Amino acid sequence: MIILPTLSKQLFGARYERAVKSLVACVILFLAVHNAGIKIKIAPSILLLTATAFSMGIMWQTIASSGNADRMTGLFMLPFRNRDMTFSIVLAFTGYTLITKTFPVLALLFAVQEWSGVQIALSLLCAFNGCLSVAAWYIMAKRKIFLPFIILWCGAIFAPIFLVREAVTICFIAVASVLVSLLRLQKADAYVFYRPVPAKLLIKHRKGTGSIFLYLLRYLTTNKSYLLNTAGLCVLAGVLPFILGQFEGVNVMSLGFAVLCLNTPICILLSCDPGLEQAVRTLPGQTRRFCTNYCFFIFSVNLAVNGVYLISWQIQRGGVGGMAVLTALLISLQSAILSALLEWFFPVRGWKTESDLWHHPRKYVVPLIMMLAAGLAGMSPVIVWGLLGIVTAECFGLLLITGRR
Amino acid sequence: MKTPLLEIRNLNAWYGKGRPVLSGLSLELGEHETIGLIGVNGAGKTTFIKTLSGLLEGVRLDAALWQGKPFLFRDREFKKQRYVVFAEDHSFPFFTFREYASYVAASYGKNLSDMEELIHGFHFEEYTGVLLKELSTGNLKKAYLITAFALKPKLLLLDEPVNGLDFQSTEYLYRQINSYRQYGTILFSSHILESICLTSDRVAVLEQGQIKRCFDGQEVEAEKIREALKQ
Repeated sequence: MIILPTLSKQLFGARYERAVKSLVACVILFLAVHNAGIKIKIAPSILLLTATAFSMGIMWQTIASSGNADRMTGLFMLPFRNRDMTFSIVLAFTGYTLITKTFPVLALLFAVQEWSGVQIALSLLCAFNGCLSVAAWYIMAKRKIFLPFIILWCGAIFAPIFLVREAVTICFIAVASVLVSLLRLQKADAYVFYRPVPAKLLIKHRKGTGSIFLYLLRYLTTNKSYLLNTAGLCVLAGVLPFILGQFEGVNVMSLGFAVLCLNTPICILLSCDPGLEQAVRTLPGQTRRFCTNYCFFIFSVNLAVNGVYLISWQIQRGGVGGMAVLTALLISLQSAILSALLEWFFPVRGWKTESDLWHHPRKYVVPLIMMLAAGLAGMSPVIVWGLLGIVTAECFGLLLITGRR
Repeated sequence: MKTPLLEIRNLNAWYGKGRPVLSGLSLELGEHETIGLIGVNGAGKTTFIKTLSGLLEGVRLDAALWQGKPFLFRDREFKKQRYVVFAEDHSFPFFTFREYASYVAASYGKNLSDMEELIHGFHFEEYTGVLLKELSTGNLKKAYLITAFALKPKLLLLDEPVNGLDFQSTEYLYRQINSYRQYGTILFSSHILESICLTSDRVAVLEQGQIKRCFDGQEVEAEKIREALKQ
């Protein structure tokens, strides 16, 4: 099977350097957290659920990645055996999912709790099963068949993890699921994994003015997953006051503002579109024209979500005053400024699938800073005024700098 | 002697350590001329144009002069004097052509002229309101070429502009290049010698990261250049 190493090299690099880097990162992460002495008790069912569900999610994103068509055009042009192609694609994507995404998460989980060899083996089996099952479901979903069967299958995987909680049963079900997946994949048409961009009916738009805000609004509304992410944050904004409100005696409202600024897809605009990045770096005056609008767009989205949060808080708990509104404004704006700056100066490059971007550690930098700022802001109103000073200075400073470039 | 529009001396450019693409490249572009840049695949034509566009990090050179004055490729004032049509460009996919052109015009602080004529010449009337991401390779190239010729910058950098164009649009493009001298200078890269000879006053040959030879005047003829390069 020459297809498997070819595809793997496309995903991991010519010398599999990405796989090595990822494995080294897992070891470093494990040793660092383990030696730090942080200990948390994690129920075995949660561990196995994480291994299975997380791998399933990533595997689906990897299979459905829009870059696959370009990556695999050359392979599909060659004469190939259908079964070889199917298994090569599934195994390459499984390896990629496990090594670059699942292993780091498992390394972290095993670093903070007592573990045994059986637990590790079972987690790996569950993760492997998750990947193969998703590949089989993907084929079935594309053929629009057996939706109830997929639901039943999914239930059969998760039921023993939650209900039976016995290693032998979970292991037996996982092995059975792997075998069924392999049987299904054996008969699959490999072209299911090849999704060229379909030719669409050209939609004409009215005369436009070249507004970046409109451009970004289209970007957000055209990408369903990005829109879903934003809608999900709005739902979270609705229930967050109930969750955070349980911390009696502590002002945690501002933490909610920071959490709700975690809208990754709109903060990776240049990273996910190298063509756009090339254009804005080539055209004159883009630090002002593009970055300011981009920052304003992120700010608007952040503020809209935080607005839902404030309304929800007022309805559920009451007591939303001017200081809360000011904090929401400042955290939304500060998060937008940092996100735009990070994207302008340090865009993520060299990613293989969109999943790499969505789970890149860089996305946590701004939320982490905002969580710290929000935590401090919750302690004293003086911090909020301090933040107002910082944000105002940043705005003036940036307007001054961008005006000159 | 007339001051050149652009002068580059001893330019070295690289993508990574130990991977030089341009080494010791020197070139002068005069005002109101069309210079063809030819070279085999991988000779560094696109790298040179990307370097002039300010996109490359790994760059070292002795001097870059714009109308006799030193400048940096990323200077805003230099950027306002030039526009680039890349061989592969997928910029602003969620803009329509009209929106893109309007955005570019605002960025350059200029009004676009002869737009309707260019749209008609490139047979692009049907696509002006379609999102750029939905255009075919050839139509996308037309969108950027129309913007370029309507913008009329002092320096127009065209990287493989013929690729993807149909024969009618290619001929129209040649006519546009030939009549552009009244507005400014064009640096036009291609690996198709005939394309370059039909339009250029001067032909520069890029080999091993340097401009090894230049042909001008009567020498700019595909057969003659081909013969000269064989020797």
